[in-house]
Amino acid sequence: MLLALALLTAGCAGSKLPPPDMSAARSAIAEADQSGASEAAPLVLRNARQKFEQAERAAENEDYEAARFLADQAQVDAELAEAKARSATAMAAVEELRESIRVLREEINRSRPSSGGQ
Amino acid sequence: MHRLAQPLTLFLCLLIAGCGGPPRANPALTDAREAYTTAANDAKIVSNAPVALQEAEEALRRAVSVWEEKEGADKVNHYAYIAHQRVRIAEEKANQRAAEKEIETVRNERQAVVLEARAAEAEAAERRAAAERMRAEAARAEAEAALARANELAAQVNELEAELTKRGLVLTLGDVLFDTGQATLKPGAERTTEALVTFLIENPERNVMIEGFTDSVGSEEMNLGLSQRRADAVRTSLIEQGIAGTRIRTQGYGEAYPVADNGTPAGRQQNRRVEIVISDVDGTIPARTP
Repeated sequence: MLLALALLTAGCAGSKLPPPDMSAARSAIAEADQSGASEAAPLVLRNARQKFEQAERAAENEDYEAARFLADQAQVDAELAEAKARSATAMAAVEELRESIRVLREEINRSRPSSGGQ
Repeated sequence: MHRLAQPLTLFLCLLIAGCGGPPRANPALTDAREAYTTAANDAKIVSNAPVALQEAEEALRRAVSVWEEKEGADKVNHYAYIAHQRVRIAEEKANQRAAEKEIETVRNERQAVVLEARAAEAEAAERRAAAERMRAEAARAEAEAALARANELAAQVNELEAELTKRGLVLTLGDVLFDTGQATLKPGAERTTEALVTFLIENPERNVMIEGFTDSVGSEEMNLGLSQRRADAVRTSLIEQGIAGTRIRTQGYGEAYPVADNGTPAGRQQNRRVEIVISDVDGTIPARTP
């Protein structure tokens, strides 16, 4: 009974976790940047960077649990920023194709003689 | 030991917060759960981003189990946040995939329109070429017509037996066409002026100036009068043959402008003449230079 109590209080006092691995978060942010997220999803990317910096400070202060949480959130934020950037790129490509079709149709109408009933 | 167990268990339960009843509702987790349910019911997301959707489901399960084990609101909030972001990632990946599929379709559509545009341009070019051919043909026909007119005019001028001078075409009526010393035209004169009348009828823009001349025999005054009367007589003849008087001017010059030597009979006869000057196409006749 006393041993259980001792173990419990030890668990409540502070985690003896190892320092978190920041590399996944770091590379997620870099990929987001490369995919154009700073233009397509600037706020989400900024959140990712801020949380990353907070994670690094927490790790310096040996608050490894907080550092883990912040790093995981920074990573998922960066992944979201990248996904937003990629979908924006794809949708812009569709719109560009549609626009060129519009221009072509206008050219066709110009070069054809106007017909009566349209 | 038994009597101590219950209060001790109670103490331990109180230490491990809230092990008595169900966990308290967590708003962040509720939101994440709702977001996931919506996404899982969205056919576009299910078909276009199944893997990302599954990752979101796993993240949600982790958050739920953390919540069920009452590990503390901060921890639940963290895992709920992760789950909610994973749902959003699934939505964006679905948008991307759907757009990429659409790119293929629209690209094909564009290719068809490009072909149509080329065909329309080819048609337009053909129409322009046809119009150009018509214009060229019309120009050619017009040039041919102009050439024909020029040829006809040349033939008419030939008929006139007129002389081309600096002032224009000049038809000369000799002394023999008049009664001696008179201004009356002999009957044969009409035949001489026939070709001129035809020419003037077929070329209505042309006018004539009839100039009368005499030899040097007799007084200047008498010769001036005779030459004027002879010019007028020719004018009257032309009018009788159908030419409007407004197209005919007359002038007598008497002894002036001899064309031959007044010392011989032949020369004098040559000087006794009427010259008919025909205007150019705009109706003007340059003045006689002294």
